[in-house]
Amino acid sequence: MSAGPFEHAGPFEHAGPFEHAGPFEHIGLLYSTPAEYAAGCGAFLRRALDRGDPAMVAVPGPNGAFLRESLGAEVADRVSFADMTVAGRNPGRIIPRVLLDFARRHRGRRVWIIGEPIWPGRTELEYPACAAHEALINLAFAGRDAAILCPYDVVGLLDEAVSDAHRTHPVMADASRSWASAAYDDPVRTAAGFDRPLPPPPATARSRGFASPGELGALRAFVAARARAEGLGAAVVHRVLLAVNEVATNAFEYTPGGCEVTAWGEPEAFVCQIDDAGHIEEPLAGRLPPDDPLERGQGLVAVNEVTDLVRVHRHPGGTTTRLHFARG
Amino acid sequence: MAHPSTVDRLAAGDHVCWTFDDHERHLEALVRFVRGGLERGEQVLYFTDTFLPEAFLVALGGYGVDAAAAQDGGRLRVTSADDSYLAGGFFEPERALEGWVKAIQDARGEGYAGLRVAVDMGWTARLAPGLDRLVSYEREVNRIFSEGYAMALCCYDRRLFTAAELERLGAAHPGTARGGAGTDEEWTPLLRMRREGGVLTLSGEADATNQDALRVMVEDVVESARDAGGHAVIDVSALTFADLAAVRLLAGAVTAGSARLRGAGPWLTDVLALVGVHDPGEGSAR
Repeated sequence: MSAGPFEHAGPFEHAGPFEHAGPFEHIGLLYSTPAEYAAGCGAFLRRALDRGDPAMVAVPGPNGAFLRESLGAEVADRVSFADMTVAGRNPGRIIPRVLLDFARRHRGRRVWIIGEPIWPGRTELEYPACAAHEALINLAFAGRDAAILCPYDVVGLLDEAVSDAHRTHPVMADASRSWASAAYDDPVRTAAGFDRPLPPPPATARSRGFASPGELGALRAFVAARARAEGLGAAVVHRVLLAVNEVATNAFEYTPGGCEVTAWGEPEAFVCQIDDAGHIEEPLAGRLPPDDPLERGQGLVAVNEVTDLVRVHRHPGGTTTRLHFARG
Repeated sequence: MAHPSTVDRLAAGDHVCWTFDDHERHLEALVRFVRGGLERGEQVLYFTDTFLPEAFLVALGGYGVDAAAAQDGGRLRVTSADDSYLAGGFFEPERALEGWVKAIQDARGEGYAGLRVAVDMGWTARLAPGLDRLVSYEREVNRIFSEGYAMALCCYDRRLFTAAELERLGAAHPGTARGGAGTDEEWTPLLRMRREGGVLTLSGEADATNQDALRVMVEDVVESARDAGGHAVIDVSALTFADLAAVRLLAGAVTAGSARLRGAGPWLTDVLALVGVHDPGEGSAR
């Protein structure tokens, strides 16, 4: 390794605080310039490649292109790249389909992943799901042989996002050093803190209650009619039906009193909300795929897979699950 | 309860859980069922636990069906459950299943266009075989009726079963007519399954309400294809929805090398890919 960006000692060469950490490292990287981005990410990747370990970069497309450029082909060709705005459009999909997927493809080896799930274009509605995802990484990867570096654009992002990063990452870093984050807290409690009330559905929304699983067919017909009235194409309608049916089937199986389904169109998305009287106790529900994809328990993972944003809000009366499907 | 007109929507090969809570409409549905069968040249069997057979025949006459003539010619048979299902004083699923196979053979032998069977399941509530045995019996019935010559209307009195029991029983049928079915819009069985040799053809929708019926048929076609040293074909070209559990079931058969899917549309192909199956079709070699 002698390519330019790696000449200087990177922030992780003298990383006292986490040298004795468990096998899993989860580091928030604060950057304010492209040079800092390249230096921080480059140093991290150098640690991986020096050890001959598999490495992946899952960041927004332009950032990935920039990194590829600044790393040089010799390094970039040894790293897998994914566009986080596609693979991680739905933050609930990142753990199962981006991070764990890469770890599984390199079973038995330490994996190094740069994951940038929060970028300035994330919407206000997406943000709490993204921050909860960052907290839950700590739970999903506890004890696993992996290192995950999450870059935060301190210039482009709101202050809230940067201060939250200190709560969701046990270790923080910038272009020159790294330190144990004093604000880091229990990931389950932190994730629960991002469960925020949802804006009410618009007046144009249509709702219908369903009492028993015998009404699943009627429930799908109701949702399909709303989706088609909103002009959704056949492929999206099928994704909607698969996801809504799965959430509703769970509601019938695990909660008393059936569920209520509310659907509406927004300029950018079709939204479908399922309200039931139950509470999911497993914080990683929908984020840990079973080893065998044919096993049970795949349901909510599949919901995350086919949905562009899932917001779950627990309240004293039960759970609201809001599914967003991008148009087109 | 289900609207009586729902029975008009049954086709040969169907096996339907039909719920009622009112004998007037139950009777009306049965009359329609019997009349429809006689009009089509099918043999009609009704195992009643609700009416005395003689009283039912009189009621048919009241609706303009010449029951006596039909019965004399053997086209219609009305028997009480106590004299048939429970002839030995208790319910033996094996014997009942064999009875259906024989009834189908006989009807074929006598040249009927088809066989339709209505069974009042009320007696099952008085027995102690346990719900498990009844559910397992209802599952097995699919193997016989999906062959496509006969149809079965299983009449369940909602007042005799809990909602949870009816859900389990319903899931052993490809279609269930519940309260309100057929009242506002046309009803058809949610799923239809037809089995011809090593080919199982599915049409409609597969979800939690018919998952056990689908499972037994997929296992059935896979087993017999395996015995014959080949793989089964599951035609899904008319399957319009499958929930994740149903897709997993199909994917399991494909992954095991026991089945290939025919006519999987883009939506099903996408969901199969989610569970790791990328070449489910008939053409691809494994």
